[in-house]
This record gives sequence, C-alpha cells and structure tokens, in this order.
Amino acid sequence: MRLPKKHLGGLGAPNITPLCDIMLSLLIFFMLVSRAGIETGADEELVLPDVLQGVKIEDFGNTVTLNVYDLEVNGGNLVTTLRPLTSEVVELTAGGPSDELIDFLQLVSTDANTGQRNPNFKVIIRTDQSLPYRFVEPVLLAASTAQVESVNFAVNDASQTGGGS
Amino acid sequence: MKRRSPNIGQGDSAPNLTPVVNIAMVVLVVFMLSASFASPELFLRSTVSAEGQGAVAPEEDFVPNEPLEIRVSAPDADRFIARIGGNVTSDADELAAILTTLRQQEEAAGTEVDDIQVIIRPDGNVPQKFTIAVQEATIKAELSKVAFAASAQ
Repeated sequence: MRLPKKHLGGLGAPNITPLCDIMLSLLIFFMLVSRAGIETGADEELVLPDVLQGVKIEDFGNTVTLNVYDLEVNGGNLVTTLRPLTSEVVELTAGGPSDELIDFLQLVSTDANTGQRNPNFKVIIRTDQSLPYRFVEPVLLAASTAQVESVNFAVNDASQTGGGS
Repeated sequence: MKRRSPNIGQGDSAPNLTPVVNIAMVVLVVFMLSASFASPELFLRSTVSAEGQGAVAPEEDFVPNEPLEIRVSAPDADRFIARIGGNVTSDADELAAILTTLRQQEEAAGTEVDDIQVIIRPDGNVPQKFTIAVQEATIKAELSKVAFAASAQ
C-alpha cells in the first residue's frame, strides 16, 4: 500500500537560505570588528590607569606600542615592543648611556623606500598605573629626540571597567 | 545507450548545505567571542615638551604664549598635589575647575583655545595614575594642547 506523504508545504526540508544569508552577514560583520590577529605587542599584564575621557585609535597601521617597566638595564629602564615586519618582541633601554629607544624610533618612523619621515607615525605608551614618572620621562625624551609628534598613553575606559580616576 | 545522470543527493535538487552552515556557525561564534573580549582601552593624546629641544621646529616669527605649567608631586602613594600659578589642589575635579577658569581668562584676553599650551611637569616619583588624572583634568577643561615636560638627567 502506498503511504501518503506528510504535508510539509510541498518541500522535504525547511528553506535555510534566509538563515545562511543572515549568518554570513553576521560573520562578515564580526570579522571586520574583531581584533583577532592584530598583534601590537601590548603587555596585557600591565594594570593601566583608569580614565573617563579618552579617544579610540582605530588605525594601528602607523603605531608602535611601547611597554614601559621599572626595571633598570644598562643605566636606563626596560622597554619592550614589537619589531615591525618580523613581529618579534624586542627589549630596549630608554635613557642611560646607550639609549636604544631613540635609534629604534628613528628607524621605524622613517619610510625605508623614500627615507622620509612618516607624518602619521604614532607612539603608544603602556605603563602600569603605579609606575613612577622618572621611568616614563626617558621614553618621552626619546620620542622627542626621534621627532615623534604624536604620543598616546594607553588607559582603561573606567566607564566599562567600573573604576574611576 | 542510457546515459548515467549525475548523482546529486540522490533525488535532491540542491547541494547539502548543512556542513557549510555548521562551519560558518562555529567561525561566527569564534569571532563574536573575540569581539566581545576586546579590551576597553582608550588613549590620551599629548606631545612632549623636552627641554633644550622641540618635536617641531617653530616658525621664524613665532612668539610662544606663556604656557600653563602644572607641577605635580606625590607626597605619598595615595594622593597627589598639583600646583598651577598660585593654586594648589589634590583633587582632580577641582583641578579641572581651576583650569577651566584659567582657560576662560585666557580666552577673555583674546587667546585662542588652541594656542593655550599646557605643560604637565610631574616629579620623578609621581605614579602614572596621577599623571594621567592631571591630563584628564586638562581634557575636562577643554584644553587640547597638552605636553609633558621631559628633561635629560
């Protein structure tokens, strides 16, 4: 005996095309807003100062992130960053007789092909909130000597973290 | 001769999308999680006022305005003292109010707000959270030209 087919609107399976459309749109959206794969060399262990005012940097293409520590090395203090192109972590000294940070900033702020300074070059300084200013000062001085015009301090958005200044 | 028809899902007219949907769902969840865990990080912009050298060479006829210099000290780890002109305060909101008054005085004297240079000069032992709090007070007072004093020791 032939069994009657169940009535499913004439289709054997639900139409998942709208689901796929929405899901792929969401996928593209989250791929664009996600920061996965963008390595800046930022030390996430540092407890940044909390503020309520501040700006967001969307373009990290012309930036160098410097993590500043209170460790004294060769008469200066320790700064870590990522070497552009190779993305390896490098340790530099800021201040002291061999101020390696000045040479590094001069190198990375200059276009290798034209030899011209990059006018959009920015430095992001990340420090622990308890770091004394005397460790930040050599970094600022190195940025000034290397003619870096834009210096930015990384801070926590206190409105999201629940802290306050 | 009977030609064999291509075997497309044995009677189904459309390809099976289930594996594609599964993989896309997993990738979507991964990107959603990585987006939501992005750190709530902001940035405070400034320039450097290094003694004996400048980041930008001034123009020939350029006559700089007298900067508003904020001296910051930290007598202990929990508080700071900011001195600007004859004003002394250890409260960031009060500092912002003082800076707002000074800005208004400068504007009344005909100075453009973009020409008002603020220099923050912290002592060596001032923790960074207080330096940043002082800089935040300048932002609250709508002073945009802020620099940190740095000198070779």
